Amino acid sequence: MMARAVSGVSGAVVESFGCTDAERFLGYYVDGELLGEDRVELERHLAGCADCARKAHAQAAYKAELKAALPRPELPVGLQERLRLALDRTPVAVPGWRTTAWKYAPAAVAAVLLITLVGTTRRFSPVAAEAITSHRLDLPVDVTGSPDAVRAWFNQRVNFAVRPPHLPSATLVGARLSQIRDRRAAYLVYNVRGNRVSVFLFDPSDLAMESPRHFEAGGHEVYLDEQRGYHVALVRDRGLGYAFTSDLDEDQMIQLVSSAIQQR
Amino acid sequence: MLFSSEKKRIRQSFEQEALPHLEALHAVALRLTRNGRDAEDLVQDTVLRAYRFFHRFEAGTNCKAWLFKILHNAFINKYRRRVREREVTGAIEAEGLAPAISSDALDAARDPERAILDGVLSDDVRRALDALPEDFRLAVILCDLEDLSYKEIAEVMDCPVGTVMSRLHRARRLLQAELRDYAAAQGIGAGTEPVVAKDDGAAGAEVIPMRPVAKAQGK
Repeated sequence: MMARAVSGVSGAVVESFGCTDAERFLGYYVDGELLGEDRVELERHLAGCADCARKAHAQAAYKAELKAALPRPELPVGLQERLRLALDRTPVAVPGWRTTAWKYAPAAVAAVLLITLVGTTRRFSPVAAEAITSHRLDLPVDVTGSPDAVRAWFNQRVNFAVRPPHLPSATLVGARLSQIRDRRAAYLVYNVRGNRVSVFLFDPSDLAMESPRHFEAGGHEVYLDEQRGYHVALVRDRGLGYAFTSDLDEDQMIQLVSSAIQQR
Repeated sequence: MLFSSEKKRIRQSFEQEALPHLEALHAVALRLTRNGRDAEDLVQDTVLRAYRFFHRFEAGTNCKAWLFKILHNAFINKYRRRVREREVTGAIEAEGLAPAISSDALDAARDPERAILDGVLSDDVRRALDALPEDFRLAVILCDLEDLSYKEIAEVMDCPVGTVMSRLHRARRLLQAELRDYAAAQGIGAGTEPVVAKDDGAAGAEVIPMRPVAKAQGK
């Protein structure tokens, strides 16, 4: 975490970056990776510090010049045409269909059609996909402590109340800020008998969370998705969206989520 | 007939979503393999594999990043050993690469307004980039040349975001040091201060030396 100098301006307390903090974050800023309050604070510092502003400008210029010096080469002559011919000869997989020899098996066409129709209606929720990605990255937590401490930590960071769900046989390891689609999410990490379980809390407005596989728990519909060996359970409760994510098997996930919802 | 129309729909969708990224795939393949023929083969392997598994692509996500991940996996599985074998035999050649640098780029590199890479030719920049360790090189390519986010790069390289940040930081320092050497050799820009901040210790401990390369001939 960055150290910050605190100064009073017109009676208000204003936190700001020092030059050391600013220099450390310049690269992330130039790469477009510094967001929210950190970005605002850095820009405030740059507006008042000519030396750091010059360094930021130099990093941005260097990045632009590197790109200009290494333009993408033209495609080799004939590559596109060769690819199109190769694509014509390549069997394309349909969801749930594993063999590559489908076009030589007319008897299986009816079955393929059925799987295709079912498969095309089963879309993996982008929310679940993002939850898995963040879960896999396993970034360090920014806060540890009791559920109350975690709830207090999020007070100034997200615009909804974070009440960590109670998971059976689980310990709350900690939490950090995360993102689901275009909005901030509270990311809670639990240890459930040696297994890591991530729970994301977010504003679910306008987000598609439904999937064909679902069950009912505590009066709520819970949607299940599975990808790359991870299970995600998505549920709405009192205006918040929850994404439970882990590599527990499906039965364990259903029990865990059912219990967590019924205890809320 | 229904099956045929489904296949046609997938092909159309693939051509709209994936094929516009062909130039990007080829550019990254060239930088990874440093060999024109291998790059073409790698692009073809990537495109055909992506087509076979296009149903796994999630609409609305970054198709370019998805393709890069397939390309990176294919490179690791099939081409990396080939590249290393070439390196071991000392037969690294820039086959197919030299014509890839356009005369516009060379002119741009001579633009007197360019303060940092001033005096350093595109060939030098390419050589310096190619000399970076493979993971460092890919991080720079994906971030600085292909504009992927740290999160997308982490997905492509199958590593944590923190590792991406560490690799980028160190790669940029190595690259700038190498480019300063080129500039100094030409009597330009020697002693210029580094653009990337000195290591603050937060970037992890992934220290990998640069691979020695032959400097540009006749410069």
